[in-house]
Parts: sequence; structure tokens; C-alpha cells
Amino acid sequence: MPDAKAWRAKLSDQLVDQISENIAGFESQMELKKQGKVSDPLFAESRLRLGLYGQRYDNGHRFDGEKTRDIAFPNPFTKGPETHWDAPGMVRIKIPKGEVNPEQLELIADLSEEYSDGVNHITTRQDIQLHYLALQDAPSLMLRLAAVGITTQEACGNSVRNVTTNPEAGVEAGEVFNVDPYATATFRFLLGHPDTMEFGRKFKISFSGRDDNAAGLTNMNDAGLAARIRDVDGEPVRGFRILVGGGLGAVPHEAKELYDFVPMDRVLPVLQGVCRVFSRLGEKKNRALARIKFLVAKLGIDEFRRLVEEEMEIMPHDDRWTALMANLEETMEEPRQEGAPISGSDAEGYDEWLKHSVAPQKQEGYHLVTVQTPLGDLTAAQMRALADLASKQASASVRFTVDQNVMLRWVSGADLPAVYDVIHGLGLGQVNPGHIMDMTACPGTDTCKLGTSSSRGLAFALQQHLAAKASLAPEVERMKIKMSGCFNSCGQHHLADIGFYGVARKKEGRDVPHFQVVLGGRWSQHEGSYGLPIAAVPSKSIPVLLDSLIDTFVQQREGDETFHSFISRIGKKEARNIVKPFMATPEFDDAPEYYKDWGDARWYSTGDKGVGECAGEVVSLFEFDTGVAEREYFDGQVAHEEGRDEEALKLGRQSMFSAAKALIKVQFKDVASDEATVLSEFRSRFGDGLVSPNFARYFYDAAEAPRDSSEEAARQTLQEAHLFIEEVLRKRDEANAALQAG
Amino acid sequence: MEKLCVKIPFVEGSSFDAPAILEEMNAWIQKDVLPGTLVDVADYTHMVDGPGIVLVAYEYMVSVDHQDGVSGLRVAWRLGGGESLLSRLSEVFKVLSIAASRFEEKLGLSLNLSALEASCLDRLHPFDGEALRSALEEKLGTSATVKGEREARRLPGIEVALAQPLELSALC
Repeated sequence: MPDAKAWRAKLSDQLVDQISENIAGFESQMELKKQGKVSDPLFAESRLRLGLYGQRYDNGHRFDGEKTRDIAFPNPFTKGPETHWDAPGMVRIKIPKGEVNPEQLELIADLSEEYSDGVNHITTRQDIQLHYLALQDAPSLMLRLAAVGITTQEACGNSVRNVTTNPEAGVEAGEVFNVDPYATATFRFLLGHPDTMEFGRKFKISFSGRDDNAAGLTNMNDAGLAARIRDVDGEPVRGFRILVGGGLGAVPHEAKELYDFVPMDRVLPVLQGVCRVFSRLGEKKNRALARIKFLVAKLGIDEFRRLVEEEMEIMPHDDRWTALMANLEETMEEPRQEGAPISGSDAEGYDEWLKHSVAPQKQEGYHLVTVQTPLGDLTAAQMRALADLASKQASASVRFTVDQNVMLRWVSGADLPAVYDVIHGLGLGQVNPGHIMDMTACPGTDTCKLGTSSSRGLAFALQQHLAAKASLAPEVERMKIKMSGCFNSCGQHHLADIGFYGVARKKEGRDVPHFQVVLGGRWSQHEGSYGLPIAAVPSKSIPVLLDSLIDTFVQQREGDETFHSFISRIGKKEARNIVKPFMATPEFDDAPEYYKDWGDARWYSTGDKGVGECAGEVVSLFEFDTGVAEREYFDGQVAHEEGRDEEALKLGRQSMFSAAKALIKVQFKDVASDEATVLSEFRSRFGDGLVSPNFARYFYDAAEAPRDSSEEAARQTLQEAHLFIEEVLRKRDEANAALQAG
Repeated sequence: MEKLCVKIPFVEGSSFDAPAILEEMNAWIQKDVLPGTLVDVADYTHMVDGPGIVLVAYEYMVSVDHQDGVSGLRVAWRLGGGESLLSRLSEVFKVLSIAASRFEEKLGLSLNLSALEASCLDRLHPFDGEALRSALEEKLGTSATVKGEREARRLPGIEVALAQPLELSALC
């Protein structure tokens, strides 16, 4: 029995039907792709929407240090444009709010051992990524995740990505209110929502429980929601300040205020309206200009708001707008132990750890413990040990943070010595959280197709460089360093005191890895502002440049000035003067090491870069919907071949409804899903001419004249379904033209 | 039947020069030293007790691994080939043999050939421990004694002491 089938049988009691069917649908699509019946762009976007991402070298070429070699993958199929079926890929596991319970942690640890290389990588959006996954293992992996309540759906692709919150939500002194349940409601509402299916690019949402003027988590996202309480008729009413159009990337934008206050019952409709405007008017062809920030900038926030309100007027009512947001109690996690004052310990380093890794919660006697991880990576054994800690000494969950660490909540002061011993024993927390050596780096050239330079290699090199120093000044210890392998800013380099992003330069015909230096950005849990790009420096000169930046800052600092303020004061020109002496690349014969990247034995080359899948290709809603119809037809054929005629008949009929609905949606996006509506809309729009009467008749017969579940009826229905789907596929442009014609 | 992993420890006190290991493994790709479809080399030396340095092939991964507090040469077979446990063991030991001999020759890294760990990368179809032990005996031509109980959450598998040290070159 194939693995996925066996896992489905084993986990049947734990699987929600809809999710299991979605995964089965992808399995069918994999089969159809091998048969050449699904296009590369459609399969790639479907795969991406399930969190299955390509990885470096999946185009079948790799520079081995001397020449570019073809990688002879065994199978001839592709899983996307120029993407080999057999090439190892990445799966991004969506973790809303970064929150996982012990069972989920253990399962992810198991998956990393069985399907990946044993490394669980925390992303800067609170997800987990596993690398080197074989596509054939993906359905089993997704089923096992689904059985513990985790999805990979819409973790990649042109979709609503993971919803993030500050990891202290609900326990932080000074927060307006706990945003956790509202973030969860938003995640549930938008997951798979029809109005999010036709984006030109991804869409990221972040919540913050604070209402500071510059809420870093909210003003750098496509949509940011900051908690706010407004007095209405003498009563305090909860709501959110909603910002749109923020983002990092090559061209960072600060988000604009869409509304200064939206009460809870209007939050989901506003977000839906934003999605509809983005879907309708966002750029679809030029991916570099397709994020919502460009649309907001082009239209202006007032016009954008007007369009959102126009959409909200015409959107069909959805009970979930209020149902999901109503009666949401504060998330009251249950601590495992009684709160207590902090206990002391003789363990070496304990007091230092208390100072830097432990923070009091607003609930007396309880503490947040931040576990710093090396570049966001955890082994399976470390994940299991964290699961044990969460079960016994925290709140039965942990949070992954946007700076790639782990946070335990609700730790009693009395348990802190024992928690320290475990974390120390795991080899974690070797650097204090928030210390300059607690760096953030995206995967870069290690695994990303877009990576230009080795961001993780640089981060490790800088950590070792700084660790070798006897001491650092306190103002330096507090600085932030973040780096990305390219300009796309997955490592959030714009927000660091010192940021780097990978670029390449040539010296006498040879490629040389470089990093663009970005100085003076700012990052704290609730604040952010963007740094200034200064100049490109060879990768191997970055450690000495860092020394110079630090020394200059310490020597020229005025009063309590931060590095951010220091750079603001001296300005870009003076900052460039600090960087300038390090910009030159030595001759190859004098310093050949400059022509290799950090952590890479090969001579450096930009030839390994591939076409990014970050955005996916824009695939229309029609293609997705007819793709569903074709999968149902395929599954019907399989059922028919296996003698399951009743199921075959049902799937054949269902595939016709899916195809009919796809054609209706070309003209009327908000069509309801019930069969009566689909049938009636189809009749009124296409029944009189557009779709040939013969083919339309197949659909009407299947819809209105129930057949017995004989082998013959199943075969006939499937044949008619095939013809009807083909007709629908032919009629899309005509349906669109008819709409335009009025 | 497909997903088998074998790890043989390096001799105690071995030291690991990460750049040299990276260079050596990259050379295996350049010169087609190993069988299979070789893809890339991944460096996890920043992790404590982590997977170390990993050569990724389509069919398997071979690594200088430090997990579970033991530094060893590890081959994790994931896909393709092998119709039986014995034939899969043959493929795994072939890769181990070539990799071990290269490390010994080029970097002076030696294995402790009197012990090994074998595990199954598949919790759905785990190998029976006794079947695995006896397959190892048959393949290696020496008796294998299971050492201790294995922690339940780890990959299903066994750790064995071998009566006679392995001769890897004979297993190619």
C-alpha cells in the first residue's frame, strides 16, 4: 500500500474530511501531472499553495566549483517550469502565531527525521521549514500534520501567508488586549477564501497587542492590525487600527493607515474588502510590482479605502464575519505549575541567563523564557526536549518568534533553575537573545533558488568572529545584525542596526560574493524603521568592516545614542566613509579566499541562481477551478476502474458542477456553491447558446435526473463529464467577452 | 523496505575540520566518487549535536553527524533501489565504505568499526529489530549484539556491538 494511503487509513479518526480530501486532490493532481494532463504553471502554483517550495538546483544544474554539471534525476517529469520532479524541495509548515503544542512539536520532529535532513528551521514569519523533501513523500507528510491540526495550505504561493503576532500576546504588561484569538479567527476566515485565490503576489498579515505609534510588526506587513480600545457611548469597545501596504523587499514601504479604528465585527469584512481590491486591481504580470504596497502607493490610501468600501457594499453577507469574532474569550493558557518567585541556582551562567533570557509576565509568578537557537535551526532531539519542557513546566505550548527563537510561556519562577539546566544541556541559548550575536539570516544560497550570497555562512562567520573577542561594550551587545541572501529581505536586513543583503560583483572576469551594507535600521518588538543602503563590500571583508563600524560607533557615540541614532546623526555620506576602505576586492593571486563564499568550498559563481518560486506564477481562478473539475473526473475514472461505481458516478457528476461553477465565476465571482444556485446561474448565463446544447444537456441530465449506480451509468456519466469539462475549457474567453459586451 | 539509516562512530577523540570536510565532500560531487544522483553539500556545523555536514543525493544523504552525542559517519537511504533489507544494506554499506576510505585517506578520520547503529526512517513500516540484527550479521559476516534499550521516541532501530571489526572494503 502506498505510504499516503496507509497513513490516511491509520489516521482516519484524526483527519477532518475536507483536509483529507484536499490532500487526496493533490495526490490525484500529481498523477495527472505525470500523465502530462496538468500544465507546469498550474501544478507549480497548486504545489506552492500547499507549502511545497522548490529548492536550489531543482532546475537540474549545479556549479561544482569548476564547471556547471547536469544533475541526472531519474524521472523525466517536472513539477513546475524548469523544475525537476525528483529534485529535493522545501516544505513550509504554517504555524499561525508561531504557536505549537507538544504533540505538534514531536510530530514535526519525527517528520524532519523521516523526510528531511533532521533540521527544523524556524522562519522569520514564525513558520517551520523542512528541506530536501522528496515530492512523493509530501502527501504522507501533509496527512500526518493534518492529524495534529496543522496545515501547509497557503504557506507559499500567491496567497494569504501565515498570520503572525507578537509572541508575548496575552502575557505582556502594557498590551492593550490579547490579540491571539483575533489572529486565529483571521487565519481561519481567510484560509482558502475564494477572494484570496487570484492575487498577483503573496499577502502577509500581522497583529500586535500594542498601539505604539510605530508598531514594527504591523507597519511592515501587507496588512497590519494594532489593538486599540475606543470609548463608544461610555463603553470601552475593542477593535483594531488597520494599516495596509507595508513591506520590506527591494523597495521597502511603510504601511498606510486604512482606518484608525475598526470595531471587531467589521474587521473581517474590511480584510475581505482589502483582499478583493488587491485581487481585482493588483499587478498580475510584473511580479516585481505586484505586492499590495505598490497598489496602495499608486492609488493613494484614500482611493484605496474608497475601493475597499465599494467592495464591502457588494460582497455577499457572510455569517462568519461576526461568528468567528464573537464571544472570543481571552486565551487562558493553563500553566502547568503554580506561579512562584524566582528560585536561585548555583549553576554556572544561571544569573546571566535570568537577566537576558527571562522576562516577567503580567501574571505574577510567571515568566517568559526565550530560547535562542543557532540561525533558527533545531534538531529533532531538541524539539522533543522543548516539547517536554512545555508539557511539564510551561503552558503546553511554545511560540516560534520572528527572530527565529523559541519562547516558553507561563514558566513558574520556581521552575527556572530546572528549565535552565535543560536548555543549557541541549546546547541551546549559547547566545543571549537580543545580543548582537543573536543574528537573523534567511536560508540564502544554502537552499534558496534566489540566493546570491551565503547569508547563513556570513552569520555563522560573524558569530565566531564576535565570540572570539574578550568583551563587547554594552551598547554594542544590544545592536541587531540581520542578513538576507538577496535583496528580497527575507532576513529583514532593513530593520537591523547593521544589515546585509547578498549581491555579486566581478573582478577580472571572476564572480566575487559581496554583501550590500545597510546601516541604521531599527528593530524592537514593537518598533521598526528602515536602514540606509551604503555600499557593497566583499563577503570576506565583512568581519573587519564590522569591527570598524563597532569601533567608530563606540568612539564617536554621543551620550546614550543608539547605533540607529548615530547613523542618523552622521548621515549617509559619513557612513560611507567608514565603509569605503573595505569595498575593494583583492587580486585573485593575493587572496583567493575572496573568490569563495562563506561555508562553501567551491569557487563562487552566480550561475546557480534559479527562477524564484516565491511569487509563483499567476494562475487564474478559472484554471484552479477547472483543475478541480479535472481532478474529480480523474478520481472518478480511478473509482470506475476499481469497480466503485457509486463513487465514480458521484465524482463524475461533481466534476460537472465544478466545471460549471468555474465558467460562471468568469462572469460572477461571488456565486454560491450550492447545486441549485450553480445550476440556475449556468442556465441563465450560458444555457441559451454559449455552451453547445448537447454539452449543456449532459450537465442538466446529471444534475436533474439521478441515475442508478450501475457500471454503465458510471461510465456514461464520466464520458459526459469529460466532454462537458472540455467544452467549458473552450468557452472561457467567450464567457469573458460576453461579460464585457454587457 | 526503502528507508534505512546506518551510522558508524568515528574513533573517540577525533577532531573535525569543517572546511576540509566541506571541500572533500564537494570533491565527491566533482569527481563522481559516490554512486547515485549527487545534488549538494549542506553545512550545519553551527548546531550543537546536529547533523554536521551533509552530502545530499537524490537517493540518500551521507553525513559527518553529531546527533545523540555521538560523532559518526551516517548514511540515510531514502529512495529508490533495493528489493530486500539485505540488498538495501549492501547499498548503504557501499556508500559508507567509499566515504570512510576517503575520509581516512584524505583527512585522517577513522571509524570505530566495532559498533554501529541501524535505524529505520519510516515509523509507518519500522523494521523488526531482530530481523535487522540478523540481516546485519548476514551482511557483515560477524555476530552483532544489541546494546541497551532505545529511547521510544527516537527513530526505530538498534545499536549493536560487533564481535569482529568491520572490513568496510570487503562490503563494497
